This record gives sequence, C-alpha cells and structure tokens, in this order.
Amino acid sequence: MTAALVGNPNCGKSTLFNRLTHAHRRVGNYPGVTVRAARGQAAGGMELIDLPGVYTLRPHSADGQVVLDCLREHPPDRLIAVVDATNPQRGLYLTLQLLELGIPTVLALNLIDAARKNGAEPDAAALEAALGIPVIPISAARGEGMERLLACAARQERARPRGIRTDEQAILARYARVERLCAAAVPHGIDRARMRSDRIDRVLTHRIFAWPALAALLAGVFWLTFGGVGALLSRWMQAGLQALAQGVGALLTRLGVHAVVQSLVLDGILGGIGSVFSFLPVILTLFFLLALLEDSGYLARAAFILDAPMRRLGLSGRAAVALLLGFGCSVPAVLASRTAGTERERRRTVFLIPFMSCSAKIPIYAAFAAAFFPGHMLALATVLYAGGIVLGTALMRASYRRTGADDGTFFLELPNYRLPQLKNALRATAARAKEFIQRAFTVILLATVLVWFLRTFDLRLQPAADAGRSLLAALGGALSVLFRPLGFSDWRLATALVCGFLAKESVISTLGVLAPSGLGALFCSQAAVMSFLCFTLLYTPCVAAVAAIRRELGAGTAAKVVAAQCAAAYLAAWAVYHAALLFIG
Amino acid sequence: MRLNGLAPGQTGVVVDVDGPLRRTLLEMGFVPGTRVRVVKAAPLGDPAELALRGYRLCVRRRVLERIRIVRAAERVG
Repeated sequence: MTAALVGNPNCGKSTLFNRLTHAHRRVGNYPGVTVRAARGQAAGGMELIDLPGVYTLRPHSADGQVVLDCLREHPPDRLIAVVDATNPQRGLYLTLQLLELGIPTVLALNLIDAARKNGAEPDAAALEAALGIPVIPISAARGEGMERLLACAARQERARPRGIRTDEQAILARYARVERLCAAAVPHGIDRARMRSDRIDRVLTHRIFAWPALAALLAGVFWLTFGGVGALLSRWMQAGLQALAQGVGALLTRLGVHAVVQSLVLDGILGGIGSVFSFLPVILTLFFLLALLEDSGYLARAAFILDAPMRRLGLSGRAAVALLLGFGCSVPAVLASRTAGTERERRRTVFLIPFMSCSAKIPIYAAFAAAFFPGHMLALATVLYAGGIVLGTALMRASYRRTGADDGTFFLELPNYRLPQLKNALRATAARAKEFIQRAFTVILLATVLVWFLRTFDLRLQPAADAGRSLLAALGGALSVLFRPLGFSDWRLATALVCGFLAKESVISTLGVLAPSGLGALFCSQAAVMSFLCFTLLYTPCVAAVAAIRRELGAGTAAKVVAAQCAAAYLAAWAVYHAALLFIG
Repeated sequence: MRLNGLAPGQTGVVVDVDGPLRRTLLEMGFVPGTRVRVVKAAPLGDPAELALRGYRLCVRRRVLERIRIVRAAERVG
C-alpha cells in the first residue's frame, strides 16, 4: 500500500517522513515526472512517498502542476494531508483541494505541541466532523500520534471522487469554507514562534543590519566549507583515493596486466574519477550548510533581502542560493536554479552561475600563486573571484530588457524561524551526493576515458612514445594557435584547457604530467600568466555542469552557455593580456 | 485605494483583485474580505512582507498595485 504525504512547505512534512520511515529510504524520481520525491517504508509495510511541499494544486503553477500530475498519473492508495496546526488556514485550503481528487485521505495535524503551547490547539473532532475524514493530531518532532496516523491511513477507504475545480468560484468557496472551519474549530492563541521570528527579523531584515548579518552568515558558511570542515574532508578523500590508486596499481602489476590497460585503469578511469571525487567533500559541505540555513528559515529572508538587486539583473531573489552554490560546484547550483523564478529568470541564473568561480578551480589558483605570485594566494583568489562576479553581473545587467511579466511569480513565504533539523539536511545532502555520483559515473567516466585515449595513443593509433606525440598533443597544438593573441601558445597549456572541460582540476593535473619541470617553463611573461588565469576562470563549465544544464534547460541553452563562456573568457583574457603588457610588461 | 498605498504597520481589507494575476492572487488568499497587514518593506524597498491568513508572504510592489483595498483599523489583541 502506498501513501503520499502532501502539504505546504514548512509544515514539518519532511520531519514526519523521516520519523515514519526507518528502513530503506530511497530518493529518486517520482515515476513519470522529473521531480524529486523520497520513498520509504513505514512500520507495518506501508510505502510512503514524500512529495514536494506545495501551496495549491493549481495547474499552470510550477509546483502545483507537478504534484497534481504525480497524483493523477500514479495515484497512491492513500493521501496523508499534513497541516501545520499552528497555522492551519493554507494547509486546510490545500486539503480541500486534495479531497476533490477522490483518493482516501487522512489529515495529519502536525506541530500539535506548538499549537498547545500557543493556546490554540485545533479541535480535531470538530474538524473531523466538518471534513468527513479522520483528523489525527501529531507531533512529528516528538513522535506523538505516529502509530495512530498510520493505522487510520491504512483503514481509511472511502473517498468521493469529484474532480479538482480550478475556477474562481471554487477558490472563493474553498476559502469561505476554510474560514468557517477555523472559526468553529481553531481557537485564537498567541503564535509564539511568529513573535520570536519577528524579533529576530527586526535585526536580520533590518534596513541597515540585514546586510552585515547576511555577509557574516555567508562568510561563516564559506569559511567552514573551504577552510574548516570541507577542507578537512577533502584531505581525507584525497588520501583515500591515493591509497586506492596504489592498491589497484599493485594488484594490476601482480596480475601482470598489460601496461596500456593498467594505464587505462589507473590514469584514465581512477585518475579521472578521482579528480572529480576529490572535491565532493567541499560541494557536500557547502550544500549541507546551505540546507541547514534553508531549514532554519533564513534563506527565505536572504531571498527577500536580495530580490531587489537580483531583479536589476533580471533574476529573482531565490537565484541567490543557486549562485551561492555555484561557488562550490556548478552542478548543484544549476539544480538549485530550478526554483529561481520564471523560466526566463531560471535561464539567466544558469548563465550567471559559471561566473561564480567553482571550488574545482582552487587547485589551479593555488598552483599558480605558488609558482608566480608567492605569498599572494589570497589576493590572487580575491581578484579572480571578484572579477568573475563583477563581469558576470555586468553582463547580466547589460543584457536585461525589463518586461512587466516578470513580477508575477515571485511569492515567497517567510516561515517561522526554527532550529534546523540535522536529519533533514543530511537527507537532502545525501540525495545530492547520489545525484552527483551518478553523473560522475556516466558522463565523466566516458569523457575521462576519451581523454585518456587521446593522451595515450598517437596519430598512428599506437601507444605514443611520449606525451608530446599523442593525439591530445596534436589537438593541443592545433588549438594553441587560437591562444596566441592571448599571450600563451604553448601546446601544453591548450591541452590542459581541453582537459579542463572534463573537470577543472584536470588543468593542473595535466600540466603536472606534461610539464614536470614546473609552470614557469610554459609562459614567457607575467602578462601571459594573468591572461591564462583569466581564461581559466571564465571558460566553459565542466562537462558535468554542461550535462546538468542540458537536463534542466535543454541542449540549446547548454550550447549557448558554453559559447557565451568561451567568448567571455577569450575577450576578457585578451583585454587582460594587453592591459597587463602595458602596465607590467 | 491599492495595497501598495499602505505604510508598514497598516492594515487593509481586500475589496477586489484585477489584472492578469487575479487567479494566482486569489489562490494565494487575497480573496475579497481578507485582512492584510503590511509588516515591512525589504531593506531596498521591494518586495513587501505582508501578513494575511496567519502567514507571511513577500510580494513585489508591482503586484501590490493590483489589489484594491479599504483601510481598516488594527485589530486589538
């Protein structure tokens, strides 16, 4: 038996799902629709499906349509409507819509403990009588009412199929009914959580203090990600991967495997996958911290504060989260852009994301700083990060033609602040990790093997005598002509840039292999170094990011993003090169 | 008057909604007779935080122009 959990965002649905399902939780696509739904087994064998939070099942609304399609195409056996007892009006509106679907439904009145403390506990019996379905008060956080909920859901069988009405009369009628229900069954109390949230917001959305608060929180997140926890996990991951490579290498040697095949496994597959996995800890740490901020309710405030400046770029306030994620990795950033507004706003957000220098480029900056600007790593990183942001923002601004149609879909609810639930954040992070790893194993594996092949074989398809004679070198040599106006024409640099399409860290690892004597040999001037760094900062996103863009917005947009980035990179590097020549020589 | 004419802290009662977003706004709860309070504006002036039906909703100023209201006294208690 399957039961779907449906309810508003922020009603504690995720907490309920976590509480009810202990064994085999699977995150995946709901069959038939590309929306992320979690599935799990509850005690007693019922399979639970956690659908995304939604306010209404209206067709042609982004979230509502998706859930509506899910429920219509693969109707679950039962519906559990989850309503926030401290604030039942909107939840009841959705419930009235759900009842029109004709699926046996029970109402779970969540956060009942908070409602009690507010002195506003709804009368479950009265609601049950008025609605005609079982109403079970629960507290998912405390575990109250869980067994009763499952039992009632299993027992409930009656449903009156009516068909969802979308006309205006229906909307007015539903709200009228909601008001009658609340007048009869929901006493007025003091919403303590709301009062607390208002007090906090007096600072966090204050006209002046909002900004330093935002900056401090973001700085904290980034410090923890790149400096603290993320960096530590990264080191462990590196060590683990190295050990694995050594072990596999020893094994292959012992088995007497052919040298070329050994190279394929070690340099090709393991090396390529490893370079991608090595920055997985950073991405996940960033994602986890942002998930905590989301769960606490703060990210809604961030979107509220940032909506006005984002609008000037043709983006929505919600794009801010996607852009933040872009500093970790473009892949989750592109996925996060799904909620960033209208299709036009989402597309523009995706175009801006590559300008947020992703964490995979950090090894490049580190190596170059060590080689050419010793002691100035932080300054270099700041210039590059800031440069990317400024350029991207300027391009967004320049390309924005204001139309009146953009304002309509920005409706942001500010939920009460609450202590973020670790389990929710961990679950969301695990889902992201799974998605990332799946992508790594498909697209990146293919691309890795391809590059390995180009690197190992020469023009006669024999194992190349040295790296300089490989197909990849030939390709690099051919491309290096393009880079002459930018000041760097060494074939090894062009080759490294091609490998950078695979994964940005490959730029450094490739240069390490091709130029063991050091980076200095590859450049003839400081200006060329700066031009190369500028190009690396801006050019095409890695194959994983491009694949993500293609899935979200189609191959056409993906191609345009790649072209736009390469064009921006080329022009900016050219400008930097010539400006640097003038000033530095 | 329109909802964008309210200052922070003031309350109005919805009379009607017009424009292409009418259906969306109705569904969000801006049904005639609903009490709406303007809580505050974002630090840069837009969007505005509204209190209605027990929750807080942020709406862009442009959209507030579409909602016709009458001023109401603040509810005591």
